[in-house]
Amino acid sequence: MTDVENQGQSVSDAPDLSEVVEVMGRVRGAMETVIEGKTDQINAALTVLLAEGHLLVEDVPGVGKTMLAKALGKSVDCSVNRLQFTPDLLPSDITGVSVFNQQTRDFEFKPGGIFANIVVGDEINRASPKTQSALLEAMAEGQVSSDGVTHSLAKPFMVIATQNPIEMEGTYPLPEAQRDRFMAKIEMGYPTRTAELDMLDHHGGADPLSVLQPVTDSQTLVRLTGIVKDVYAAPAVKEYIVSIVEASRATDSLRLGASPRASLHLLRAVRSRAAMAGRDYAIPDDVHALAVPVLSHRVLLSTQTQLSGRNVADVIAEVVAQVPLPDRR
Amino acid sequence: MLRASDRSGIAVMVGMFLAGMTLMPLTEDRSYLYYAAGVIAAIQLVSIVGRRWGGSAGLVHISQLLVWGIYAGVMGWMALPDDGGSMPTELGRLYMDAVLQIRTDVAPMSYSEAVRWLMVLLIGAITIIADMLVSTLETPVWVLAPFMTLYMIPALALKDDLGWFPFAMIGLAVIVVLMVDGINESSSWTRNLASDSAIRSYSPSGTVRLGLMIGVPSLIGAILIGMLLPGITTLELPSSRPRGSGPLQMENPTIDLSKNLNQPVDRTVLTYQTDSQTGVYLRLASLTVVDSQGWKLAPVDLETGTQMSAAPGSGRDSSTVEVSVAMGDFGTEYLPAPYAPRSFDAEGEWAWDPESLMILSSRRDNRSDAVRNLNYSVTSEITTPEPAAFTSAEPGTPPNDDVTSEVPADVPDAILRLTAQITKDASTPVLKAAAIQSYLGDPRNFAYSTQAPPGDGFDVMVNFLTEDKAGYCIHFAAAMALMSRIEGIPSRVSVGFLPGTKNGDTWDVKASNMHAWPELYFDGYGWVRFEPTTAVASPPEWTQVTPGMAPDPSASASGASGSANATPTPSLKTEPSDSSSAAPQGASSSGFPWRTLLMWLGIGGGGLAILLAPALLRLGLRRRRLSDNDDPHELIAGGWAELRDTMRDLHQHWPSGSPREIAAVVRASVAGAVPESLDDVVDWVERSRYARQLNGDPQIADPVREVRAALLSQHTWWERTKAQLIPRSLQVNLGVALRERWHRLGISRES
Repeated sequence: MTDVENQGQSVSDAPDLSEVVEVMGRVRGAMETVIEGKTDQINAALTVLLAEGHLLVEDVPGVGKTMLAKALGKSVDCSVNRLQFTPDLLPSDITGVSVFNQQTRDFEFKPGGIFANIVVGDEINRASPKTQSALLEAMAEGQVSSDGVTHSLAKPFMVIATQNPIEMEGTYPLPEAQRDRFMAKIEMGYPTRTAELDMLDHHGGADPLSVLQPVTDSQTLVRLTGIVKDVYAAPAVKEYIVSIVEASRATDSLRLGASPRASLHLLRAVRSRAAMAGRDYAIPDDVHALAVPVLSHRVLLSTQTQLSGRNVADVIAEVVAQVPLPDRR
Repeated sequence: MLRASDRSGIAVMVGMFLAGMTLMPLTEDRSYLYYAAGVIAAIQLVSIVGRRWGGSAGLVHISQLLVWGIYAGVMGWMALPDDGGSMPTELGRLYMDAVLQIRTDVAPMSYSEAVRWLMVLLIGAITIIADMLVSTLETPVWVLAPFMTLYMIPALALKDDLGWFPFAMIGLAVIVVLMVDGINESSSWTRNLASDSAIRSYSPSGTVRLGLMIGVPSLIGAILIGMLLPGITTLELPSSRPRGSGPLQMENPTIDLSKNLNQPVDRTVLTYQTDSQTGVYLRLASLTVVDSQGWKLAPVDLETGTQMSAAPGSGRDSSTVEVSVAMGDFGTEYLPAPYAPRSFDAEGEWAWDPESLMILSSRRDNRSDAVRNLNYSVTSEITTPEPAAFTSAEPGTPPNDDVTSEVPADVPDAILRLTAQITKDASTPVLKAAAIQSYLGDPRNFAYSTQAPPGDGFDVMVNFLTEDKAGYCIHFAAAMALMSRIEGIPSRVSVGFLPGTKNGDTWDVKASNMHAWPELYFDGYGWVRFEPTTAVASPPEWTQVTPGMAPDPSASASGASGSANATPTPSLKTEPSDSSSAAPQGASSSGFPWRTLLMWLGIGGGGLAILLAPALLRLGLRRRRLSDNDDPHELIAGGWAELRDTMRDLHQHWPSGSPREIAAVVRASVAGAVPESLDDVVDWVERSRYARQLNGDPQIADPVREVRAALLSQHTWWERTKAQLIPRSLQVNLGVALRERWHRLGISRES
């Protein structure tokens, strides 16, 4: 751990990305011991982590959503809180509450579940809208206000929320405005046959998470996020991002296009992905790879598109393909 | 250490000098070569130094033009007489002088500063073009075009065989340029496919050997093969003259002249040997009577015997010349002989007219066949007046003065007026005759055309002199003879042959050498030949007289030596033929049809050039893209475009997308292993387009070549050849460019 800390202290105009590549490689390696055959999802989660965003994981139960979140939390030597969202979960359970301390004869802030580096919010759509909005407010602002006192959240701070798209009974789907605050949404998908067989072999007995050891710590992560911000995005790449977002607003297939915040998030994610590939500059391929995860949960399909049975990922891929590539400086 | 650009510059220098030597048949003046060497060296030094200092191509060429202009100015200034006009007008006058001389004189032209100046200017301009092709556009093969331009000048001007020398010079010049290009190429890039490695090497000696091994035998082979092709002579370009047909003969001299001049095949009608240094005019007959219908023979009293009486009135400046003639298949009753024949030795029955000294057959039947295939010899006395003394000669009274001095009463007023106008400034009869000759001989006044209406009657004359202003020898000769008679000089029109072309010891006279010329009678000289048809023959020295000419010792000395040689023209020029062809002495001795061969080579080469143009364009593009570039981004973009075009040439899809996506498609299209250099290329392209900075010098040319070789190796020989000869990328790129332009146009119209 110490040698990691000694590396890459200087952040100049050409950032030293070897540390990013090396540290994230170790985290990825650790997580892959727990989750088999999900490299893309792991990469997306790490990209969001480095870009200081929040991740929404959506899929059917039992494919490893929570496992992904937990594995990430355990790979990094930092505080991890897990919140199981239920209809009776109160906002104060998330943000914390001021209680009267008899001994000090004063109100004392009892931090809620959100005060951790990595917060795993399971089945976020089961909580009441009030509770959901409390979480999302805290996510956006990076702080919690209680009784006129502002409590800063930990750094790094990342919310990994999962939701189940199938059981809609008794759920409160996140409104668009709140979904917009997640940097990316990924779907786990079923494992391949071999991956599932391997899983049975390896994880049949003990809990794999119990043997997972942290491979980096929170301070390193904070430093790495600083490096990522210095990754160069050429004007052409920025224009490409804006063109794609604009195209999502213009297309007939979508009822609601991506927001300006989507552009911001996409750019941050693109920088993060470039840094993880060891590049100090972003390329259109980064935008390609991240357009679907970053944009898909922010847009709404038009009725006609819904009826024709196309999904959001297809429509966004189509939108991206329509935008000409920036090939000049 | 010589750089590639230095070598190219020097190659153009040497090549241009060799190519400049092809102009030698045009002029007797060899000094133009020194001046040409100067201008070539100056222009190419500018190129070499400019390119060494990294000057842009545009700057280099502008400097070259500047140097060329200065050279032209200085050389022109030196050539000009010091009479203080403004420089531009003086140079303009020099140019006009040169043009006039080129149009009036026949090759090889005599020494003229104006012509030399123009030739050097031309060579300089062509040097700049050659340098642009070789060094700027990097298309050394195309240097053939400016070199051939130089070759075409004598080839077109002389219309006759140039001989092997200019051809070999051009060939050598091209070999020099190409070989140096080969050296440059081999020093920059050598690829060893067998070991799949790219090495840089430098082997000029190998290139020189290879160049000599290929170039010199090809050149010699081309010349030898050309000599083995006898039949090409008849494949002439359609000439402007109407084509007569039928046997060559001469019964009525004036009527048959036009027909014989227009024979489709320019047959040799006779050959002769003479002790004269130059060729001689062979006269058939002299037409002495003129009326409104034209010039005619006068009735003659014939005498027999081979010793003839002395020529009427002659004596001054005359010399004896012997000619032995071998007639070919040419039918006439007149025996061709140089004027004035004193004796002849010919089989058959002959008689002669003591007044005109024409020799005619006196046999009773088939008189027109009298000279066919006859061998005979003639001794003649030729008059070569010394110009200065001749200037003041007075018209004489020939024995048949009643005929040769008679001006018909019905000569049209137009001709009388014109004659008076032409001669009004001339003080002596000879100067009047010279004024008429120079008026008729000035190409600005009259054009040479065998298509003009035949005949020499008054109607035809008036039409020739005032309307059409185009005609051939009979028109010029008849006009001058008539005008001279109006001015009081006895005259006649002689018909016969030009001296022809020298071929070893003998002279060949062709049907197209048939000619008519005026002869004027001067006291003490007898009948003196003039030459107003300057398009086919240059006027004799004694006719080029000016009022200022006074008898002076040096001039008479040269005149005396000229007359000692007993030549009709004291200059060493070959007298040209009536087909407006003029061959340099000795150059056409082989008789090989260079011009025809060259024409076919040109047509073939032109066709080939059109066919090869896309391939050459594509090759040039590739070279430019992969050559060093000061802007690394441009270099990278060029390398990437080269890969794109290679795929397109091979009829493979070049998708739109990011460099990585495209590289994946390229990789998928290749069955074998694509060299890892593709990743290098992609990396440079991405860096160029999207990174903050490039981090180092892009080395993209070699990886691109490797990938290109790998792509090409996936295809059959035929597909590869097709890709190189018919590069589809040109067409696709043109389409894309047009579409973009159209698109932009559409957008701008909308806004």
